[in-house]
Order: sequence, then structure tokens, then C-alpha cells
Amino acid sequence: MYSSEHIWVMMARKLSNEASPSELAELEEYLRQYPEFNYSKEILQDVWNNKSSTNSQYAENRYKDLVQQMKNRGINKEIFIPTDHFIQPEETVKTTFLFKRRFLIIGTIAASMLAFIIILISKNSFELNSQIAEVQFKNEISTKIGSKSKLLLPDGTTVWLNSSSMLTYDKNYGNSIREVSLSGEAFFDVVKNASKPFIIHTAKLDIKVLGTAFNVKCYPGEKTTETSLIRGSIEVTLKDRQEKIKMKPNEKLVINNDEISTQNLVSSSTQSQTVIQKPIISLSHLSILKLDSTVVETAWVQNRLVFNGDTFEDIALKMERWYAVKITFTDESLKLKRFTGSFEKESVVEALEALQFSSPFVFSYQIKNDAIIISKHKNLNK
Amino acid sequence: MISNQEIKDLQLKLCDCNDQHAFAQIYIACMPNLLKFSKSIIKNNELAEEIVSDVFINVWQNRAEIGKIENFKLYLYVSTKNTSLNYLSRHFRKNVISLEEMSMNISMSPYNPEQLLITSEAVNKINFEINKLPPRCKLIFKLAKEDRLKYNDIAQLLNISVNTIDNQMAIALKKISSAINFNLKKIIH
Repeated sequence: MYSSEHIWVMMARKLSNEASPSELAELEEYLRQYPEFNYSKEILQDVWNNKSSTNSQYAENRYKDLVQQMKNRGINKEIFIPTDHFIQPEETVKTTFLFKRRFLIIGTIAASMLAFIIILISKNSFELNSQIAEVQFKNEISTKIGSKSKLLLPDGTTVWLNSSSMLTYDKNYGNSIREVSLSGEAFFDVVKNASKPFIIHTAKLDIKVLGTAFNVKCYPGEKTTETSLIRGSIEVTLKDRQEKIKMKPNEKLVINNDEISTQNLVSSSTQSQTVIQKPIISLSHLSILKLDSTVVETAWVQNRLVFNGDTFEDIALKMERWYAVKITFTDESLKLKRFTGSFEKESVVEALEALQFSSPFVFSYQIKNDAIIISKHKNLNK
Repeated sequence: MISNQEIKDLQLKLCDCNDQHAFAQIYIACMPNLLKFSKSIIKNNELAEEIVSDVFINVWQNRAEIGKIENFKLYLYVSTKNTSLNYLSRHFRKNVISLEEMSMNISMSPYNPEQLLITSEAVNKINFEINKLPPRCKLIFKLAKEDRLKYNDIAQLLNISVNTIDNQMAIALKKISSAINFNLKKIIH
């Protein structure tokens, strides 16, 4: 009743994971009738699971070549080469790098303190005084869009708060435990105190530190929450799944805030298995600008607005906060264009012009008060 | 070969988090098989390497958009095929290739500590049989077994019907099985 061709089709389907339950039952039935096929079945299973030898060292070496090729073509200036398990920078490199960073941080502290004093003397002394008072007696500090702020917590920990961000902490801060909550972006330089761990709460994760310097970016409405560690070590706890991740210097942890998009993609696959809803987590290196080895993630602390191959959509978000403007795109495809650039004192117009200059004929813009409309350049349609 | 779920996770990391590490993992997991696939079309190792590099550079440059791709593994194979065919048409004015021309070698590793039934002698015999298969049959068998592509994916990639895949897979398994049974008889007698 079975054609002998058919059994091979069934066996192939079973091995390739293509067989339906009824086809599997059919195969079972066939093997009961013709037990001599069982030996072939076992052997074929072994053959199937025997992989032809692949040399992963070969693939890794080829990956290094690919990275070099991309660098030569100017596609990606900061892409890193995997060694061992991809992120283990060499010890010597790390120490010299850290030395530089510390030097920079000290420089920044001095510079910003000077700026602090100058501002204090010149104009907004009343406002600043009230802000200091806030730090001491209230437990909520927030920055407006387009402005940044540096604060000193009672234990000496320094916090740089980026624009439209909010830091809250308990009145008992420093008495037994050091706890703060953050929404937005901040750079922390935490004073070491092993007996009083410093804990930062964000919507998506908690970060526990002993003494260290790092950046946290957790703006509500953004796609990701990012933690970038400059030195020391921190422990990140993901709220959704009680998982702890220890981070090492120069690492950056990105988690996806938007679980809906993830779920859509998973469930849209025809083989809808059990859909586990968890955030996408990615641990990678900090991005370093070749030009002056600026760490992109923390450049804002030095009052610099830096993009490193970011999409225009992300750049627009950063610029909105930086310049207190509202940016809209008339064409969705523009959001995916990528730019690299570093701005310090430039006005929003100068920054946009520089971006235009770096990729001519890509976009044009119109400014009305604080609203900027970005549309496709006319020549692009040609 | 990497599972579809793993590749989906890496795809999302690459797209949403700009993750270079994920990019490297996808490359290392998929490159050897894509290279073999391109080589079966191009018949030249260096050119095939170049083509696979181009495919991955393209992935990196369009990473913001790859989140939308539903079947990323198939996408990599189709890109490799198209890039390879483009190359053929540019340099040899040839823009179709029949499946009979797409030849490749498959070799199972002679020793696998987990396997109990096959001796290394049998593995040699099986390798010999597999490589004697007609190119089209071997290609389909290789894509299903080594690259772990689904029948539907193979059908789309090679422009053939699932029915053809069923038939070709049956032919491959029958040949392998007869090689072993032959071997078995030799041992018994």
C-alpha cells in the first residue's frame, strides 16, 4: 500500500523538521510494517546530525578582513574586531585609555565649576541659588529642554543632568543608603563608599554601584535605555526579569524599551512558537570618535553634541533636546539617513548646514520659530 | 548552523541597538555556508568571498531597515544568490544559471564523538555517495541538512516546487542508505 519512494520522502521530511503530525504517524506505521527500515532510519539520523566540519577561526579571520575593508571604504570608522568572545579589550590599551578619560573628566570638572561661578556672578544668581536650595531640601531636580545642569549630592557625588531630565532622591539620601531615580539622561561620578551602595532606579532597570563614572540614558518614549560605563564596575538589574548584568569599563548596555515592536516581529513569523516577551539586550563597546578619542556617549557632559553614524531620526531627537526645537520630517526615508558630526558652540542653523554640507542634496529644511521641517532635497528625486 | 530564533534575536539587536557584536555573530555563523553557496554559482573562491562581503556590508549599511525582514536567513541567501548572478551577468554576460551547474562538495567530519553507529569508514563511503549525487540533488540536500533551511525557503531560493524538494531529498536519502546497507552486508559476510 505504500510506494517505496514515499518512505524516503517521509524520512527526509522528518529529518528536516518538515513533517506534519499525520506524516509522522504515517512514518511510524510504515516502520512497524517494515522493521528493516529502522536501521536505515537510525543511520540517516546520525548522518543528518553529523555536521560538515566548519572552521570558526576561518570565519573570524574573514570578519577581521571585512572590518578592515569597511574601514577602507569609510563605511564604519569605529567598528571593532572580535577577539575571543568579541569584547575583551587588551589590558594595556584599557589603562592608557582610562588615564586619558580621567584627565578629561578632571578637566571637565574644573571647566564646569568655572562656568558655574561665572554664571553665579553674572546673571541668574537668584535662580541658581534657589536650585542649590532645592538640592538640599527638596528631592526633585529637573532640567528644561535645551539646558543642562550639574549638581553635587550631599555625599560629594557629582551628577551632570542632560536636558529635559529629572533626578529625584529621598530626603534621607546618604544616611543609610544612597538611592536616586532618573528619567532622561545623566552622567554620574559616584564617590566611593562601600558601606553605602549607590542605586539608580529607572523605568526599565536598576543600577547598583560602589564607586564609578558612567552615563545613563532613559528618556521616556525613546526606543532604548542605555548604560555606558567609563570606569569602575556596576551591576544592572533588569526589572522585567530579575536578571543581573555586571558591566566592565568601556562597555555599553542597551535594552529595548519597546516590547510591542519585538512582539509583532516574533508573532508575525508563521511558526508561532511560545512567544516569550522580553526586552532585547545588547552589550557592546562604547563608541569612540577616531579624531580625538571622544567617547560619544558622554560627550554631552563636555558640552558637545556628537553623532557617530546615528540615524537622522535619533539625531533629530538629540537636537530637539539640545536646542529646544521641534523637528519634523516630511519624508520617512530621511529618518534612516546616517550622519557623523561633532558640535560645540554651533547654533541649530549652523549644525543643520553642516549636516547638509556633509551629504549634499539629501535634505532641505525650513525654520519657523522653534519648529524645523526637514524634507527631501529637490535634486534627490532626479 | 544557527537557529532561526537566534538569528531573529541578533537581527533585532543589530537593527534596534546598532549592535556590532550581533553583526559579527551573524557573520561568523552564516558566512561559511553563504560562501559555499556563492562558490557553487561563481566557481571561484576569491570572487565568492568578495560577494559575501558585499552582502554583509549591505546588511550593515541598511541595518535600520532589516528589522522589517521577516525571514532574515532566507534574505541572506537570496542576496548572496542575486549578488552572485549580478556578477556573472556583468562579467560573463550570463544571467541565469541552471541548478545542474551549481555544484559543491559536502564532506561530513570523519569523527563525531556523539555518534555510535557510523564508523569512519562508513563516513567516507557516505561522503563518496553524497558527492556522486547529481548537482541539483546535492545542492538541495546540502541546503536542508547543513544550512538548515526550511523546504519553503529552499523552494523560494532555487525557484523550484516543494514537491521537487521532496523527490530530490528522497533520492539523496535512498543513495546514502544503500551505501550503508552495502557496507553492512560487507561486515556481516
